[in-house]
Amino acid sequence: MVNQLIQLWRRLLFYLRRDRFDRELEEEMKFHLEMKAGANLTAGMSPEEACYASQRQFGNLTLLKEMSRETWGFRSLEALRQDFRYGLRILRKRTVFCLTAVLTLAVGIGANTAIFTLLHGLFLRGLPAPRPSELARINLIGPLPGSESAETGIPWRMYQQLRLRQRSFTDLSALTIGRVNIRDGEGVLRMYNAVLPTGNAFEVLGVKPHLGRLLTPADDVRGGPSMGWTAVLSHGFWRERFGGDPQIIGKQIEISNSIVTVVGITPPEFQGLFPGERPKIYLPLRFLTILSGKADLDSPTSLFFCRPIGRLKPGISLAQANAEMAVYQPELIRDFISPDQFYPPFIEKARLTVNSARNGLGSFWGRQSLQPLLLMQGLVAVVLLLCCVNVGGLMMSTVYARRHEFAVRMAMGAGRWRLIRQYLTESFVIAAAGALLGAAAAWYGNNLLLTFFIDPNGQEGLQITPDGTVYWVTSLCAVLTTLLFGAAPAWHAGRSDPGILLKSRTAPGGRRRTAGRAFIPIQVALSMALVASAGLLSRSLIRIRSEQVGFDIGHITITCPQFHNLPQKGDALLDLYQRMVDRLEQSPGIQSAAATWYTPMTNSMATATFQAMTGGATSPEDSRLAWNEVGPGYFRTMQTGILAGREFERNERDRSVCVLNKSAASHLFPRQEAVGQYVRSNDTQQFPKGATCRVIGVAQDAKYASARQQAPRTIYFPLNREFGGNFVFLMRSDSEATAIAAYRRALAEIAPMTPLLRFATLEQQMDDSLGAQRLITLMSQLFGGLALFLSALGLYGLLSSSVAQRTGEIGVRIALGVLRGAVLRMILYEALLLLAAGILLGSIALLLTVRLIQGMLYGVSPFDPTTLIATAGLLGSVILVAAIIPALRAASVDPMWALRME
Amino acid sequence: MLILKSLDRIAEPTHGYGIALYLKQISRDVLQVEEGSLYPALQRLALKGWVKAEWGQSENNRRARFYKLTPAGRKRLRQEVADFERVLEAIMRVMQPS
Repeated sequence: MVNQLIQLWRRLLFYLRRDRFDRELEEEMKFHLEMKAGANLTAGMSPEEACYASQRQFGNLTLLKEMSRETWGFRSLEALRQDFRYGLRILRKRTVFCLTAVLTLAVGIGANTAIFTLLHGLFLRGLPAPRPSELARINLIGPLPGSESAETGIPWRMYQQLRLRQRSFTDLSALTIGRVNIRDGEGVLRMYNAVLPTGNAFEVLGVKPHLGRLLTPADDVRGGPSMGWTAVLSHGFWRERFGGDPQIIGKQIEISNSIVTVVGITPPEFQGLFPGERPKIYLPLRFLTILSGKADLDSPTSLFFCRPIGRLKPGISLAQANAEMAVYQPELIRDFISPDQFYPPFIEKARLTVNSARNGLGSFWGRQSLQPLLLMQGLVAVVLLLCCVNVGGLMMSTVYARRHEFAVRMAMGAGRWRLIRQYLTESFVIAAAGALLGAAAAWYGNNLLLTFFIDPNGQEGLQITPDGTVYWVTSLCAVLTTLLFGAAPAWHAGRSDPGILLKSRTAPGGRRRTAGRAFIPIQVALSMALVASAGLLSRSLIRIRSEQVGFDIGHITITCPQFHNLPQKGDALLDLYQRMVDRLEQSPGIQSAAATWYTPMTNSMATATFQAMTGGATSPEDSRLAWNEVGPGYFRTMQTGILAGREFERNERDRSVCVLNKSAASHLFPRQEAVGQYVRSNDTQQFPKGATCRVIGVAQDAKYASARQQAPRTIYFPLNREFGGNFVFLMRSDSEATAIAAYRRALAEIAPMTPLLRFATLEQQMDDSLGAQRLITLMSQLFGGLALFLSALGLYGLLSSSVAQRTGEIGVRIALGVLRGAVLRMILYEALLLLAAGILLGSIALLLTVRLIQGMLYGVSPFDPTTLIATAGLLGSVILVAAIIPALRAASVDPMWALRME
Repeated sequence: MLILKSLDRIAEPTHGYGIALYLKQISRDVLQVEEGSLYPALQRLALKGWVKAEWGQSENNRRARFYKLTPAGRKRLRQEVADFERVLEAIMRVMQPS
């Protein structure tokens, strides 16, 4: 082995100095010849004779030199270089073919790289920490309302207990997420996500600071360190907000009305523990007492849940750690989860579970986007396959065009393998160019792609940037595609028959034309699947958008003021909301305004169980209703009609009154007027004190979480004092700008110390909530179109070359009296045959695709006849257009000219 | 093997012509090969690391490449000689009239 390596090294040295080697060998041989000639001379030959004799005895000088060189040389390497050069030369001559192939592959590889970037960033990338596979997280997993096995963090006091007792981890740390207000460069307060880790977290993770130091246990003490609270900035936030100024270390900044000292910057590659999210700032976990106003995290009544992450001891497996947890579990749950504070089934069934945290902790984007991303990856993989098939078809036609060249090479002694390699090299040149272009496109397209992943709840959108791994994937794509599209043509090239050199150039014959033909039905089939999917998805999207949502979605601007962070609580807080609404409604351009808890189209909603009370008797039957809290003027602003009764008034601030929507009213009170009746709830999980309320109005049905779901049965309560909630303002105005201006004026006047947050229109929110759906639809449209174009191109290319090959034959036919119409039909028949085969294959492909996209369809049957017929029609007409040009060319062959060629 | 043995026998760095001359002499002209084929063979040996080439002055003051045996080459020679002798012995035994 070592010897071989040394030999390889010598070879390499030689390769680099091959010119010198040649010179030296030459000199050495010359020396030999001269010595020999000298000897011969001494032996009495004439000088000339001596010279000849020496050469005779030496042998074939050139051949020997060549043999010496071969001993050392990378013969294969040199041949490869030759292949490359030759390939480039050939490809340069065929610019159009080359451009088409490269662009086609660039689209395929680019799309794959772009989607894979997201998948990799969200689910595959290990944390940028040493030995990330040792990292593990601990969660409670159990049933919560709305989910059979919800994953939650664990209570803070349970974590502390667990940290002391556990033996599986070298250490445990924990963290939580908080929102902080920081002034931006212009002095406007902004709200950002902050991560609040325990003091040992960075050490557990093994992250090293970019500048300064990271948080330590000394920063995370009750009441803050004696020198004041400290903070670590993320590299990105430091660059963006403070211009990357290294002087920031040791400076004080204001965070949520507290002064903290910046002590360090995290390294640029560390982007937090939640894939797809980028926290801006890290604060000690106990800073939470300042942020939330909670007095003490450690008190027995504290409901604070944290998310533990630890490093397993070397050699300890997840199973072992889980077994250890199972031992502590009953005791920990008994001690730290009180039955009156928790959902009973959860206490019964929750399990303390250790999972790998190699990729970080589960994040919002991880949960949201796995399904759609996998679907998209499948889609783009099909597209890449299609691109390969297409380029393969194009290459195949070049094999035929170059058959003479190959035959000549073959006749001159080129091996089959050499010809195959030549073709594969050319394929690789094309694939590599395509991959390069594709990677560039994916890099720049990344931001565009991310605009489809915006959280409608107003949180930060998905944040993923491509990294080095993606290049490996791209390279792999290039190699794979080379083999995929290059294999068949290469094989055909290898089968070149030198015999054709002896035959006439235009010899008629059937079999040889079939090369490349098989590609067409596959292309048609894949296009059909893509176009039909695009059709179904587009129709679904149109259906979703055009359906009645139960409110007027246009002209509404929303923003969440985060008033729950203010000192005002209870009535004072509700007064503040009311004063803002009043001030907004007085502003010019604002038609109406209201506050609400949930806004529609955020992909989330609250549900609880309710019972109808009729004549003092509570119906035994539980009904699960969606619920929301809305301020006065909500229905007017949303333009959701009130069908009976009225909406809430200013003085209604508790859950003694409610409004039902029409389907909830008719469900709870099937045969009677709902207004004036009572509804109650024992759902203590949602309403700790229970709720009994009088129905004061019935509203029109309105969609809630998503436009994709039918309007749920809904109960509305007034904004109330029990719920110290974080409400959202809704403003109806002609333009978003008017609403924003009015809001900023009102805020400056009424609550100047609150941050300014993201504004969105309800329409945007709906778009964002449909982000994945819109992206898949857009992609299927784009790729469906591309697929059609490629198929048409492929068929056109095939028929054109077939007609060109058969010019003579067609000429003879016409000369013999076959009508031009019949020739036309003959070529079109050929195209139709391919189309039919394609549609047959396509039906199978479609059956498979439809199963994948079924979940995304809305109001459209997977076998929607309109879409299917339209697809077939579109496919047929595109194919016909592609076929008609070569067919007409065939029909217009001049028999005299054709015969003269024979 | 022959080249290695010649280099071993001559015991000092020798150029290609010298080796050819030596082979011819020692085998009393029985082994008459194309002298040039010596060179590809020498290259092969150099690649394997059994001989080492250095430029130097020839006896008539010309620049020439001198080859010498490396320790690895010597080891290889011993091995080859041993193998050869074994084979030779076997052949001899077969050829011996019993």
